[in-house]
Amino acid sequence: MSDGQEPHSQDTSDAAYGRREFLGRTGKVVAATALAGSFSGVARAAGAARSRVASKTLNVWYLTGSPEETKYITSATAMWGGHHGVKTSVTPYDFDPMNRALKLALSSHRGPDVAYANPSPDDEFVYQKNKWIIDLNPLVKKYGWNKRFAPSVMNYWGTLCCDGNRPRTGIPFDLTAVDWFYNPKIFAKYGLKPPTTFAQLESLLATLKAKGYTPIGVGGLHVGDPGSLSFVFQQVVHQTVPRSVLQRQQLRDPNVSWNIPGIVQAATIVQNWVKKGYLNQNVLALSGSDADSMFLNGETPMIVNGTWKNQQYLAGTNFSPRFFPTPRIHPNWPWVMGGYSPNNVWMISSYASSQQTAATYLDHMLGEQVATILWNNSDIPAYRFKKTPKPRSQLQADVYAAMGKTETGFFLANVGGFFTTQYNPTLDKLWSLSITPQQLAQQFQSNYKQALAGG
Amino acid sequence: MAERFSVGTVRRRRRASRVHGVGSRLGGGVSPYLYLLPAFAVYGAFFLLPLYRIVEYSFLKWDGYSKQKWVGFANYERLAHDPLFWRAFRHNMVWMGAGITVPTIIGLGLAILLVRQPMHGRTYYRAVFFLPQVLASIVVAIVWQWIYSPSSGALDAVLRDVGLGRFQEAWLGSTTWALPAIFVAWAWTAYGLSMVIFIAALQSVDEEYFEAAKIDGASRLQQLRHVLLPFVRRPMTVVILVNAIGALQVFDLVFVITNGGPANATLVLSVYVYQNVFQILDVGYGSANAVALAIAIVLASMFFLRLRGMAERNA
Repeated sequence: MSDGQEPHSQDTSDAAYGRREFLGRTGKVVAATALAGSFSGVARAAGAARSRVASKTLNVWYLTGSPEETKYITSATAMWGGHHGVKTSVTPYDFDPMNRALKLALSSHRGPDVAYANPSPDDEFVYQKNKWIIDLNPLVKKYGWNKRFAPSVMNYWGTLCCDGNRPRTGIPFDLTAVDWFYNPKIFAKYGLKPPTTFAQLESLLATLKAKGYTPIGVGGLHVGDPGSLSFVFQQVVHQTVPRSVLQRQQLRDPNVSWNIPGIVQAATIVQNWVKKGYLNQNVLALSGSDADSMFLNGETPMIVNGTWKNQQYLAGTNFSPRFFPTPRIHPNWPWVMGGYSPNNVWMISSYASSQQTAATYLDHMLGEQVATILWNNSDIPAYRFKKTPKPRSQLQADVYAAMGKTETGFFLANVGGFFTTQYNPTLDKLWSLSITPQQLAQQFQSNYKQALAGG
Repeated sequence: MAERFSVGTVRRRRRASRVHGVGSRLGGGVSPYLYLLPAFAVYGAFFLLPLYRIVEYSFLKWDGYSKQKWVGFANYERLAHDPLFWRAFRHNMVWMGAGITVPTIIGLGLAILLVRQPMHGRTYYRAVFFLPQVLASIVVAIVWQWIYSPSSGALDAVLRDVGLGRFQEAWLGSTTWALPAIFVAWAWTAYGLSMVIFIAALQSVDEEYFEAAKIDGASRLQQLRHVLLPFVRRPMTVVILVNAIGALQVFDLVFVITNGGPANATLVLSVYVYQNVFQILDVGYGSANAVALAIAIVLASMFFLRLRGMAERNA
């Protein structure tokens, strides 16, 4: 299989080493004996297969959200390897390094056998377009993966999916959504409830401000920092611009514009929130971690962030945070949550020496056993349980309910290229009131054009 | 016993001297070059080759993994009209202007204090003042980020406690103050080297010059100007050159503290190169930026080396 010579590669085979060695040796003996005609054809094939896989390593590159996640994925992988007599290696990656490393590795026909990586047009589609990853449609059919996940999640992009005629690039595993985490103790103190209409949200913000709180904790120091102010804008945009338009923007449709009334409306709403003091002061000088701290120590009753923070928020507070989706502005539109997506997707490299082994591994990772592990770690697996397990926390129950109620949404910054690098700098000007909402929309459109031109 | 000479002996000696690199007409034969070879190989592999490749890439349209396309000078034309490039370039120039003055003046001032002023614990102070120079830049970035934090930072707390609360700022969130704030962090790490170079120069000044000046009635300021400064003119050109190059190369502090924000107020060329090459994956355009940065560094170096030559001639 592949070389997999990457930093901090974790060989997960230690626990299974003895068993693998035993299976490998046994396999060889069995194969030799079978060749001599002592065993049946089935035994011969099984023995030979075992000896073959036992001498290889299945290299997995995993885009991880936290050390805890790395730990349980590594453990689940090792368990599978031990059971199948396959040595496994899991290499955890952060977001940017993964995208870079995977493109470079796959383009030189190296890299992992299986990758769990970012599902964006800038990445996943590039891998598929260059045929660095295999079409997963036959495996979807063979293993019945389609039945395990919600259609909206399987068909996230709506363009490359499950109709069997187009190649399928990746399979979802766990889900994320970005939206409002709140402090139920502060809400209870003032008799406040999660809003179900946008007017209620505005009223909630005004009430919290009147009670002496800065309602939303945000950080804007680092571009793309979790908890950053770009999320606040993103969530509002999902209520002012139809999902279909946002999707076309993400897919870099040259016929769609960012300079549209919906973007101006969202920018106006958010800039008004800045003016009214709903966001903490000094936004641009505080990091996402600062914003987290303000929420966790009760300074700000709410924070807009992603559900990958669930575990951190549950562990870091003396209250149990709760979650609600941004209410709709247009009551006749469906509910949509920004950043509600298959967090990342599993892909199989075209250069995996045993795609069959990789497929078997994926079938294991996409099954109920691993989904339960995810669930027990406060994640929301993409897997649809026949009977939903008991939530580990009220927060998890809130997120799960919100996901059931809303359609998937996007990470606006992920258009790629120049648009992505200038997304936050452009928003910075909105927060500092140095540009108007109209100018923001024009600037986004200009950045979008430059990105489309290859910048 | 006297050695017997013959034609054969002379030839053998010549051959031996050629092999050992002694006495050859080239002034050393092959041996010195053999000694240089490992260093040159490393230099070639890790400097010359990458430099060549970057120049080559700057003429391409390339994302780093798919097919390369030759575009001639298109990347340079784009660069000439790119407002972000010029903004970053302007920031670098401002940084260089401040970088050759602030750490130089602080380093010289401290060197004079530590060499000319009688005091206890001189070695201790030298070590303390030099300490920021040896800290990892990531550590420096994180420490100064804390110092500037509007919620828990030391700077605003001190201003508040000494009654200067009106000067409190969200330093890193301000488009006006963010760049100067990061520059201060950089200058904090840069003055140590300047100080050490000046100390070495000042220690070589014979005390008799000062005594003679005193006898002639020179004031302390006159001693400084007419006795001390001529001795530090040469090292000062070195300090200026080092600080100028360091200012143009600045990356780590900006990248960690603000990553070019807010609203590109701290964008410098090296960060812009990083964004283009590693985030946008526009390797060709990023390389053109890198070549422009390299040219700026070479020009600055040539200018300051010429300045140094003039200083040496005057000395």
